[in-house]
Amino acid sequence: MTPEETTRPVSPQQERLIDQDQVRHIAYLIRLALTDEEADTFSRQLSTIVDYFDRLAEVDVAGVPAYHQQPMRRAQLRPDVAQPSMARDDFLANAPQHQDGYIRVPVVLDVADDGGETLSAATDEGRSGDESA
Amino acid sequence: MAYGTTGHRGRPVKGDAMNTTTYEPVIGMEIHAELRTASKMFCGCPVVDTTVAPPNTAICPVCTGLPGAMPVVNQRAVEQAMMVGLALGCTINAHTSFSRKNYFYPDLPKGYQISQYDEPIAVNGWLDVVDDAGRTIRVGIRRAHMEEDTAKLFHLPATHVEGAAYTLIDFNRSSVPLLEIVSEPDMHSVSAAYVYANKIREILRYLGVNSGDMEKGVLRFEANVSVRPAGTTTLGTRTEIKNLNSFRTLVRAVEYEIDRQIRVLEAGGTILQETLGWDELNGTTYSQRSKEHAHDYRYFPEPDLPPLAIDDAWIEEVRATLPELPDAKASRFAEVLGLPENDTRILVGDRALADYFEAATAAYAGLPAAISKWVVGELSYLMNRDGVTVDAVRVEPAALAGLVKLLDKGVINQNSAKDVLGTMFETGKQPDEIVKERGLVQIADQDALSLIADQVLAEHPDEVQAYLEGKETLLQWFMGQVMRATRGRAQPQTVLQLLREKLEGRR
Amino acid sequence: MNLHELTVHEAHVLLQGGEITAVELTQAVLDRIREVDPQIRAYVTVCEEDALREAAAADDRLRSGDGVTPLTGVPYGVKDCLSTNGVRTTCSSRILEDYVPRYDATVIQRLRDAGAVLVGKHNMDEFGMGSSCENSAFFATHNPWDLDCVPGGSSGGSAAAVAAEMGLFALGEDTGGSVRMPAGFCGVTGLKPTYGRVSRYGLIALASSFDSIGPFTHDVRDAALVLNAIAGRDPRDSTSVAAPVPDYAVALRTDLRGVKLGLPVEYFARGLEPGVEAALRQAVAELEGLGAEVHEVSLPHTAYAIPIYYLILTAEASANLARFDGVRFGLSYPPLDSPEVVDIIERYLQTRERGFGDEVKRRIMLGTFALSAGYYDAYYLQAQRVRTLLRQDFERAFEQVDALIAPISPTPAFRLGEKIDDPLQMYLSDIHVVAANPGGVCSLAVPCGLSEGLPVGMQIVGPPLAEAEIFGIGAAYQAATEWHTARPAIGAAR
Repeated sequence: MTPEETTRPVSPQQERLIDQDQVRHIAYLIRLALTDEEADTFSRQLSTIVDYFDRLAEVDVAGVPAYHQQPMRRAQLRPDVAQPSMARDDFLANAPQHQDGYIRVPVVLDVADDGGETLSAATDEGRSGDESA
Repeated sequence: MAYGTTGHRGRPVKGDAMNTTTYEPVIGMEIHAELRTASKMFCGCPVVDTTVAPPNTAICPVCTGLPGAMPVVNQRAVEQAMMVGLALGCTINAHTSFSRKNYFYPDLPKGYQISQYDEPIAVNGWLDVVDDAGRTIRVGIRRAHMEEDTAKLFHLPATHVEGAAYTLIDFNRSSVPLLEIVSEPDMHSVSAAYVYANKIREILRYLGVNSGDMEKGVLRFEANVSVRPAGTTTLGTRTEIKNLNSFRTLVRAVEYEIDRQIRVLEAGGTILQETLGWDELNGTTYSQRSKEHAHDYRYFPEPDLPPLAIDDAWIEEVRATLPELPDAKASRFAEVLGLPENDTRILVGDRALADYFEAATAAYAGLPAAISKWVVGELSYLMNRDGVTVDAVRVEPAALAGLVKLLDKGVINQNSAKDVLGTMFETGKQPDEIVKERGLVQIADQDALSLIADQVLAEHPDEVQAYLEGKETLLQWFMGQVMRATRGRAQPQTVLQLLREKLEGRR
Repeated sequence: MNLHELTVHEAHVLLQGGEITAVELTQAVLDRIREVDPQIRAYVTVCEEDALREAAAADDRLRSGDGVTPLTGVPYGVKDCLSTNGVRTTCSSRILEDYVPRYDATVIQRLRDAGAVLVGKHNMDEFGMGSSCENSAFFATHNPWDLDCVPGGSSGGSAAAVAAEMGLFALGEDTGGSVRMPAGFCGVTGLKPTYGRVSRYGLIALASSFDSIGPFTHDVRDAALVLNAIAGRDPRDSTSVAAPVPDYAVALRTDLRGVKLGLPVEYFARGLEPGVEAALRQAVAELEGLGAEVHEVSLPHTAYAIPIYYLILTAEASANLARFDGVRFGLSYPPLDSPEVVDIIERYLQTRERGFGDEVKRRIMLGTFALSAGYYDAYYLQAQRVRTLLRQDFERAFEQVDALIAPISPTPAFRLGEKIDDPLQMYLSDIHVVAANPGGVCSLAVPCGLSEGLPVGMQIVGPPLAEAEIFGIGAAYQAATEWHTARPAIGAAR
C-alpha cells in the first residue's frame, strides 16, 4: 500500500450495501455531480442507513395494503373553466435566461428524443418578434 | 394505397433455395391524444392553439412547476377519458390513481410527469378494423390513461452571430390533458396499423374530444415493431419508434423498420431493444439510444392527488352522452337507409357531413339515397372547390332536401337542379324561390314539347336526313337543340321519346 | 409595557380597544428584531416597509371596525418555505437564494385576509431536512435560552423568533417533528395539525404526504386563534380535507375530568435524559391532578417509525426537488454570463451540486434508491405497507384513550456543532416525533419544565381532526401551570 492509502480506513467496497458505482448511478438519475470523495462518503453513509432500514423486512405484511389516501369523488374535481394566465413578465422575472417571451436554456444534446422542433437560422428570424410582449 | 398484406414478402436466405423464411410483422401502437377541454389537466390555464398563441401566455405556477404549486384534476378531462374508454369497449376502473414518472428534460418543469401507472382509468377494450385486403382485424386495447403534456421546445443551431446552439421553451402546452391509448400487439401489417390509427382518430373526432388535426400535433403516434417467423407465436425483440406525427411517416417508418429487422435477422444478426426515431430526409429509422443510462422512471403514487373513485352512476351518465359511433352509423346508413357503400363510407368518415345529411333527411324523408347522392356529390364538390366547411355552407340541410323534393316530383330536371344548387350555394336562397325567379319549372307537357320538337326537326332537315341514313348519335344533338330552345327546362325522357317517334315516323 | 411581549389574545384586546395601534405594535417587533436577532439569527428576510404598510392598513380596519379578526394588526413571521408574493423565499438553500415568488401561499393569503402583519421569513434547515437548523445554507439560528445551543429544527427560526418575542406568532411546518421539536427546545407552544387540515398550496414541498403547516405561539389559546384563520378546505390543494372548521378557541377547558390519557410505553422505555423524564412525569401528575385518567398504551410498531418515515420522506422529496434545475428560476450554474458553454445536462449537474447542501444530497439520493428499479418493493412499498400497521397502532390506542402524552426529544437543546457526524444517529434522535406524520394524527407541543435552564416540552397527541380535543387538554394544563409564561433572557447565562 502507498502511504496515501493507509491514512484513511476504507470499508471494503464489495461489502457495502450501496457501492460507489451505485451511488454514481443514483446521483446521475437525479442529476447531481459528485466528486470521488463524495461518492465514497455517500456510499459509506447510505450503506449504514439502508442497513438499519433493512429491519423493515422483518415485519409480516401479508394481507396489509400499502397506505393510500381517502379517495376523492367527482365533486372534488376541478370544473373545466379556463382561468386567466399568470402574467408572463412575472414568470420570466425569475428566469435565469429568457428571449422573446421564451425561457432559454443552453443546447439540449439529445434533441431527437423529444419531438421538439429544430429550427434553421432562417426560421429562427421568423419566430422572434412575432408576438406582442 | 396498398400497404402489403399479412405475411410480409418472404425472401429466401442467401445461398439456400430450400430455406425460405416468411416473417410476420407484429405491431402495437401507442397513441397520444390531446383532449379538447377548456382548461389544462391539473390547473385552470386555458388550452390554447400552441401554433398560434404567443409563448408563455397560458401559464401559472402549477403548469410551470414553480415551488409550492399543486395539481388539481380537471373533471371534464376525466369524463372525456371515460368517453374514449367506453367507445373502445374498455372497462372503466372504479378506482383509478395517478403516479409520478420521474426524469429530467427541459420540457418537463417539475422533473416528473403526472401520469397513470398501475391503476389507469380504462382497460381491456378492443377495436375492429378492416385492412386493405378486406380482412377484419380485432385490435385489443390494453389500456387508456390520463397524463399531462410537456412544454414545447425549439432548438436553435449554433450560428456565428448568436454563438452556441440553444433551446427555447414555451410552456403553453405544458400540462394540457393527454390521453394515451395503448394497443395490444395485434397488428400484423402496415395496412392494419394505418387503419387502426385512422379509426382511432375518427372515433376521437366523433366524440368531439380531439380535432384530429395532425399538423397541430394534437395526435401523435408511436409504433412498437417486431418480426417473427410466420406461424410462430413467440414475440421477437421489439423496437419502439417515437414521434410519428403524420399518417405518412407512420406508414413509411413502420414499413422501413419491418424491412430492416428482417434484413438484420436474415444476415444472422439480432435486434436490439431500443428507441428509434424516423429520419424523414433519408427515409430510415435511427437509434435514439443516448449515451446516458437507460431511463428508470421510478414510478410511485402521486401524493398530491388522492385516488379517484368512479361510481357506476357517473359511468352510465357518461355512456348516455356517447354519440353514435362510426361502425354503428355505417350499419344504419347501409342497412336501414339503404345508402350505397361509397356514400356511406364518405359520410361516416366525416361526422359533420353525416350530421348534415341526417338533418336533410329529417326534412324530407323520401329517399335518403337521393339526398346522400347530392351531399357527397355536387354539394361536396362545391364546398371543396371554394374551401367552404360544412358549418359555414350557405345551403341549409332543409333547403337541400327541398331541392331533391322538387327534382323527385319532376318540377325541375336534373340539369336545372344542378344549376339551382349552384345558386343556392352562392346566395343561400331557397330552391323554390330560385326556380320561380328563373322560370326553371320543367316542361313536361307532351303537346308543348311536341311542338318544339317538330320545330327543331323542321329547322334542321340535313341532320334529319343524316340520322335516317344511320348517324344515330344525332339523337343526342337534337335533344340538345330542344334543350336550348327550352332553356334547359324540357323533361329529358319525354323529349327523347318524342324525338325518336318523330324521327322514326319520317323514315 | 413592552409591546413585543404580548400574546396574540392580549394584543387583540388592546388593539380593538384602541389602546395601541398596529403600527406601534409592528414597530415594537421590528425594533426587537433589530435588537436581538443579531444574536439569535432567526430571520433570513425582514420586510420592514411592507410590514408597516400592512400595519397601517390594519389600523384602518380596526378604526372602522369592519372585518376585524383576532389577528388583525398582529405581527408574525413565517418559515422560509412558504411562498410570499414579492418577498424572497429561500428554504434556506443556495439554490433559491434569490427566488422571489409571484404568488402567496393559501395560508399567507388567509392571514392577509385576517389582517395579520407579515414581518419576515425565518431561517430553517435547508428544505426542511434537519433537526437543529444547522443545515441552513446561510447561517445557524441560536436558541434564545442559550445562544450556544440549537433551537431545534427544521422550523428553528420560527420557534426562536416567537421565544425571543420577535413576532407574536409564527407559522412553521412539521413533516416529522419540525414544529414540535423546536417548540420543545425553545419553550413555546407548537401545533402539528392533522395532515390536510391546513392547505399546502404555496408550501415548498418536502414530503407531500407528511407536510403539515402549524403555528408557534406563547400559549394554546393563541394557537387556536391562528388555526381558526388558516384551517379549512382549499380547492387548490386536493389533499386538504373538507371537514368543517370549528371555532377552536371555544374548545378550551380548565379541567380534565372524564378525559383518558395514554402513555405509549415504547416512548418512555429508555434513553430519556433525567431532567426530561422528571419534567414529563411531573406534567403527567399535573394532568392527573386535573382529573384525567392515565393509562399505559402500546404502539408496537414504534421501532419501525424511523425507516418508514425516512424512506417515504426521502422518496417524495427526491421527486419534489427535481424541479430545482436552473431552468425557470433559482440558481443556474455556471453563471450565464460566463464564457463557459455547457449543455443542459451539465448545467443540471453543476447547478444542483452547488445549490444543494450535503444533507439534501444525502436524502434525495436515499429517496431515489428507495424508488429505483429492483428496490422499490423492498423499500418504498414495504414502508407504505408497514405504515398501514403504524396507523392501526394509533387507531387502536385511540379506542382506549382520548389522547396520548409523549416526550418530544430525549434531551433538551444540544450545543451548536455538537451535531453528530453520523447521519443515522441524527435520524434516530427523532424517534418521539416522526411517527405522527405517517401515522396521520395531530400533535400539540407545550412547555412542561426546564432541565438545567433549558426548556423541556411534551406532546399531546390526538386522533385525526381532534385539534379541538388536544387544545382543550393543553389549555387546561396551561391554566394550571406557568411553564408557558417563562421567557428567556437573551444572552444571559443559564
